[in-house]
Amino acid sequence: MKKNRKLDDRTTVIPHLERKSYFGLFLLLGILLLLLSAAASISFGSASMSLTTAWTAIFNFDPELTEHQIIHALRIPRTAADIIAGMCLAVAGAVMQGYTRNPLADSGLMGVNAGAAFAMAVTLAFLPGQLQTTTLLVSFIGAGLSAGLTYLASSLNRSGMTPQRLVLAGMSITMLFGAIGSFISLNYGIGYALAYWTSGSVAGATWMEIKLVIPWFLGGLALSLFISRSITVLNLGEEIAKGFGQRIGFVKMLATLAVLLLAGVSVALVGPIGFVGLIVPHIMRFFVGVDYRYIIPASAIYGGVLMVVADIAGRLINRPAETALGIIFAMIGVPFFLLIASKERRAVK
Amino acid sequence: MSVVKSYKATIWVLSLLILLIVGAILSLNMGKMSLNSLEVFQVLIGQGPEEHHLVVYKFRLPRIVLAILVGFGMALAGAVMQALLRNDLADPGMLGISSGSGLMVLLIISTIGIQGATTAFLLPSMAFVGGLLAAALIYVLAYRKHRMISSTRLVLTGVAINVGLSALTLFLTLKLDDQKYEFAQRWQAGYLWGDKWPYISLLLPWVLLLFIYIVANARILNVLVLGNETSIGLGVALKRKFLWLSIAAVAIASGCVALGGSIFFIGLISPHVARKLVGHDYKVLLPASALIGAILLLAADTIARTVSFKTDIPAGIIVTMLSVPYFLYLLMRSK
Repeated sequence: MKKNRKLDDRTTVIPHLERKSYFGLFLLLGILLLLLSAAASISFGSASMSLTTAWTAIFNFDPELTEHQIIHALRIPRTAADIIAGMCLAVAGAVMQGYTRNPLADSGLMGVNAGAAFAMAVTLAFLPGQLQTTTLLVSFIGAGLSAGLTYLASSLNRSGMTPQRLVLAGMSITMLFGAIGSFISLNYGIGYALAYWTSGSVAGATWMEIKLVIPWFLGGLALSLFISRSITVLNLGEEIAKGFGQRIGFVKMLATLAVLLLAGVSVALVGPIGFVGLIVPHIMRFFVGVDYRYIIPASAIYGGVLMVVADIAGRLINRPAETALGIIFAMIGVPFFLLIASKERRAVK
Repeated sequence: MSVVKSYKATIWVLSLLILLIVGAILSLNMGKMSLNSLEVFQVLIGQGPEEHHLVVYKFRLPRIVLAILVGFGMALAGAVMQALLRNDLADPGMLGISSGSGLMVLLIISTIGIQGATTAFLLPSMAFVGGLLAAALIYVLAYRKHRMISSTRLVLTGVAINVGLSALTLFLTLKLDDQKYEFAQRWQAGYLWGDKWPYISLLLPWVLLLFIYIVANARILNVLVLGNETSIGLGVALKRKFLWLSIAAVAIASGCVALGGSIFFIGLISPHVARKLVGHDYKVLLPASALIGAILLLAADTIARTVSFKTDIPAGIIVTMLSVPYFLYLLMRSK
């Protein structure tokens, strides 16, 4: 570690003032956008309310008013869930892309979504009528189980974990949990309920859930920020990272842990949602460069923004019905992918 | 050395073929209604009571033949795709066949319904068309004039189209009622529902002809694996061959998907297993992986037929449950 820091000091000696102030501005803009979109998310909905109502509901809460109650019990936790899930997915995606050196990596690759869906299927089939907090815990455990298995299967090898092996293991674990999940759901006739959960929704978020996930969320975020420098080095290639004296196995383990925490939180909170983790780090790389010390915080902020905006869109497109977040993100994702494909700089493997 | 190796590989292919035939005979003797081997044999030589004939010829045999055909075709398409895209993770689903045909199937069951004579004909043919259309769309979007077809661009475009189509599928799914939803879910999990002789008599020549075409071009695949530049250097008319071979793979996979649902995991895993057994020469790799796919799906479907679950479990689910542990084992052992 010492050696690592020394090297880092040397690189930061070069004045990066211009870049740093630019990054600061970019982050500030993101926070501003986040606040604006959060305010919009609180006031838009099937019952539209003015921003002043939202404002007084937050700072001058009056339990007598129905509008204030809606805002307090539904809109604010929903917006908070959006922000938390968006941040989690974007940061998990950034970490994943960094340490697997695969620009197409996403936290879904660790099998978390399939694991959570499997756990949900088990719960729906064998313990129907559970409280939301229980299903939250169950899906978190399912996500942890599958991510743990993926990590285990890809690292129990004499030559250690390679990105390729991680992807293969993640895909097989996803397939396996998916198969068992659909086996259960066919056998117990719960497919429809499961499909609804799979489409991704934040509509039912409660304060209780938010309180439950906050410590895990903060822990995962802090861990990601802590290892961001090592990820930048690792992203240069394993040989180079070794040359810099990095303990690769340790960093990879921490990175996996961070991804697991963040992806688990988001899948437990809003269900499996793709693309945020894929898109946001890509866009951030365009603005702040390839250093993960910049990419990770920027991804966190803008991931939150994207998620809140997508949720608002989902509420507005087909009023008063809501469009599932999974569908909204696919609508964003398709053109985005076609764009990457037409540029296609680096080979994907 | 290489003579010894090819000799060994031929032995492997032959023993796989024998295994498949033995498996098919065993499978014919198994089922929920108990018929002993003697009774089955009597039916086969044209004796025995009427209901035994019904069980064997109307239920068991078509299902077995379909399982073999679909497994064979999917694995073959997977092996070709992995060579063309030079990616061990490629399977026929990557070119949009599963999502394209899935969307078509959903469209039909949500507009027309599950039952009825029109559906029986429309469902497989539209699933076939859907798969072809999705693949064609991906090709058109990834195609650049005067340039080589790049496998990266093809994969990325494939991802994009897959995502878009599955979002549409999800959108439709949320509007279905319970019963229709269950049919769609079964189909997605790989359900050998087209086990009727008229369907099979269409699929059989289709798979066989394309198999012959692909095996005849095994040499080209061997060269294509080496990379675009090398293949041109070796004198392969790359772009045209690439196009024809991928059309063949897509055509086989679409045919299989139309009758057997999306069982793409077979296409992913069989070539991996085959490579372990017979090495990298596509001349033997192609038949070997096709046979492995057939054996795998036959085994899975026999389990699905014989073991009593609460409902009729799609064979695709059992394929996945059986093969993932083995795949993970391969992964742990790989260098």
